[in-house]
Amino acid sequence: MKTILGIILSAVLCFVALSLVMVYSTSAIVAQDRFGCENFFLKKQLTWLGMGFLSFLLFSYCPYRILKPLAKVLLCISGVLLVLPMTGYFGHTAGGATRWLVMGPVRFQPSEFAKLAIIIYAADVLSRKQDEIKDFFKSLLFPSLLIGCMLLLILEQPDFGTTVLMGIIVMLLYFIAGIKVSYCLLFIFNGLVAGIVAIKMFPYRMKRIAAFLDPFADPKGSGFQIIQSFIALGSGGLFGVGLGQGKQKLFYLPEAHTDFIFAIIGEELGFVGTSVVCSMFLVLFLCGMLVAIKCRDPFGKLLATGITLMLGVQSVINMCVVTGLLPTKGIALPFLSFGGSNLMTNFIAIGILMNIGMRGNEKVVSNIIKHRDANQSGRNTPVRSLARV
Amino acid sequence: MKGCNTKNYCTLRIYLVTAFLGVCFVIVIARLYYLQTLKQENFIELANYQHIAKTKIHPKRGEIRDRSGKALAVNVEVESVFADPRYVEDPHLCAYHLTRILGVEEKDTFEKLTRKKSFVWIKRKIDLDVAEQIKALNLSGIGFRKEVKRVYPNGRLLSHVLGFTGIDGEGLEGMEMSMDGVLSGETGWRIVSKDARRREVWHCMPLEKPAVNGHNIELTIDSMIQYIAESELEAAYNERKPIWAGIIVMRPKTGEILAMATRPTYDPNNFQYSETDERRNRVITDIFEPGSIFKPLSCAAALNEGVVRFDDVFYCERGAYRVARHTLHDSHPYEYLSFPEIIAVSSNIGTAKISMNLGGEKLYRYLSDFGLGQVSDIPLLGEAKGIFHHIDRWSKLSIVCVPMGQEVSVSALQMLKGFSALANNGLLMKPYLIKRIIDEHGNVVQSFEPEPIKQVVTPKTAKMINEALKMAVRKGGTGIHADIPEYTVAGKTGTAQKAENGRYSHTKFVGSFVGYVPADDPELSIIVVMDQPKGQYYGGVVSAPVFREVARKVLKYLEILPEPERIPLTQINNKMGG
Repeated sequence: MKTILGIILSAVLCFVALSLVMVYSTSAIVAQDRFGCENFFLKKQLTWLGMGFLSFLLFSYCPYRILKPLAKVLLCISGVLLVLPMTGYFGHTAGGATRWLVMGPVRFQPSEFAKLAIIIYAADVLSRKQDEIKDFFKSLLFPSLLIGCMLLLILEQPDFGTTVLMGIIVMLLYFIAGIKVSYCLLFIFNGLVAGIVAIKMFPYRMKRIAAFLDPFADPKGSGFQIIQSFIALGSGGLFGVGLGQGKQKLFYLPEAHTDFIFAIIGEELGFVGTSVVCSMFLVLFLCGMLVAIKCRDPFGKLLATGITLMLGVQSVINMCVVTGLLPTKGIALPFLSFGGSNLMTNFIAIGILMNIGMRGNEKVVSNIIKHRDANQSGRNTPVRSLARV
Repeated sequence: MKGCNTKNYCTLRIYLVTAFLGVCFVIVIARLYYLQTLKQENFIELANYQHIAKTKIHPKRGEIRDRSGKALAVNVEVESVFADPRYVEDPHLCAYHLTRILGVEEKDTFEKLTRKKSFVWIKRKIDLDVAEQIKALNLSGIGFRKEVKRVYPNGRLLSHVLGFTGIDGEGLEGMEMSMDGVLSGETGWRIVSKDARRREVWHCMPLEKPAVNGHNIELTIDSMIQYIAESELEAAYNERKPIWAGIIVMRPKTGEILAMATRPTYDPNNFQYSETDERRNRVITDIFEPGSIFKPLSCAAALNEGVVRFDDVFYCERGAYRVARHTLHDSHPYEYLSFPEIIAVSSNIGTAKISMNLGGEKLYRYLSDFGLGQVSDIPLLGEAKGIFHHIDRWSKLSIVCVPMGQEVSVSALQMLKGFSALANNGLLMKPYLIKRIIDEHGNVVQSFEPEPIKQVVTPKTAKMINEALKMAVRKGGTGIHADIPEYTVAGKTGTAQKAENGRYSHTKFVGSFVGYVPADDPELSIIVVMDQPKGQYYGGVVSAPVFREVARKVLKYLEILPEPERIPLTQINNKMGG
């Protein structure tokens, strides 16, 4: 287990290091142009990084189990945070979306924290109702509606990408927790219908779909971003044009330092860089899943799965968008993209994951332990740790 | 136990999900491989297409200066305003401000600001302080580009020779056009990277070919002499109101053109407000029948061939002479006139008799040698060859008409060129306008030297003609108004009837005067032409005074010492009638 956690931690640290280099490389010119200071984004990223590390330490030390009773509270808080920007008091609009909540000098996206809250809540509910999980309407109807409401709130930010992401993650969690496959199919169907409705309601989403299907049909309009992304990746070739030498960040590729940072990595570091980054995400994902598999506490298992899925699915979707495998959505690449709230959330998530890895198999005096094979868990966990709980 | 089953079941599902997402990762890597290595070429091409641009490096246009290096055509840095309609936020307000400051049409400006383009000129070449005013407004989407404007600091002075350039600095007229290749230099280029807003990005190794700046041209023109000539011509032009008037001042010993002016004129700084007619350098492009100023050339030919002698006397038929079924008239009836007197009083009959002694063949050869019917090859476009029929096409009357300046047409420059040969001991010089061409660092690229063309008549002949021409401006001669007290002048007046519908008009004349001074050591030869002056039309009345004023002022300016004793009048004057 220590090896796994070590790999996770080193992967995250590698990402952070690469992130600082790439955020500076991609944003320096834009920052200079817009704010007159080339380090503007780098400084912000560093600040958030510091806070992220602190929260990482906090969550990796304090036992994840305390999140279980707090799950509903957290969900409520993030619900309120999601509603706040809509009231217009603390909102900040950027790029046509009121996704930011402003509190003094701090600006963050409530939807990012909502992601964690939803995962914690889902893990809590699913672990509690494991016995009656087959009977969906009896056990999971109300929690599902609650999660649905949260998703709607996220959708209203509007943050379509996060909504889809969370929809997928919650569904995968349901699936892993053991709900009937027929319900799964029903969910997928519902999700598709909801997705289509959401797309039809906003023409810009429709355009993005069209641009995804044939980016070169409108190279100066809706297909612009994805074509610029292709150009960035393609001109990088096998070894890239060299760190800092990329040209696509010179206002050609919109969102070069946030959602499309992967394209610039491709341009500057080439296929070697992108494939290493992609492989590292895969390793991180697999290690996270190993943590989940090895964890015997159902809450911990589901939480670890949810967190790992969140990071894994998010990175896959982002890379798919950048490579043109999925239509454009506003989803950041975990750890690498510029973005404070996202970085913070990911650090908290990794903190929790580490904590689950360390404490997941501790014996806990609770009703869950009755369902467990005491011998097996005892083998992995030293007896002295019991005293700490 | 149910929980245990669930757990195994769960683990299986976890593996499933993990595998599914793992496959997704692999797909992404495969896709990356496809985009970054297999399709690399296509995207690199696209990338180069949008990143790399070839920009022109504009050379500095050479200056035009006068013989002493005074600037006649220079470059001034100005600003040009353009708009990028994509970034214009409020076209109405923007158009309003631009209209207010630049004085452009508001409707047009608004239309330009709303075009679906990324670049459109609003107004080019505006003064720096006007540009400052617009900059102060900080309008979005409005940009400035430094440009170079051609400025002629002396305004209308020498405008016909200098010409002007178009908005992009291309020569359109005059020296600017004919010497465009020398002045404009070579455009360089540079391959640069550009960002999405088309701004140049620093590039470690930009490929470039630097521009070669244009060469400066130093003319033979002296701007002081030009000024004198222009102001005298201007005064006469305003007084006599001819269709056009022209003056050329040349140095007969070298062929250097010191001044060249034409009226009507224009300001090359604002050439767009002028008529085409005003922009024509008529002293080289327009031809006219020279009339009597032509006689010295024909007479010199006869004298040179020895068919007449200087002291031969001709009977002038009392003013009417029947030849080839036409009657030739003199302005005053004369009986006996010596050779120099014929020139001095400008007798048509005398000239005709002299030429008939010479014969057509020889006359034709001599006149050709004087440069008739040929361009002088000065570096200005549109020089006229004139009309000088080949001997085979001469009629019976030609032998009388041609020597007195009919049936031939010349440009003022051509006439002065031939006449100056007489001043230069019979040696015909090639007139030239460019003294030297120097590069931007002051090194001489090309230097022009006086170029003799041909010894047309012997120095002895020229001396004798000189004596005759001196008489023409003395009391009793036709050119008395050209006389200067301090210097001896040699010259000839001309009053040519203009041909109209195949006949010679009795109301329209070209009054001209050509001469050189000081007569025995000529520094200047000057021709003054007035086409169809109103009122008085005799060359001796309308053009000779211009010659006198210009010659006197220029000689003073050139610090030529006045001659102490003027040759006393000869008794020949007493013989003259009228």
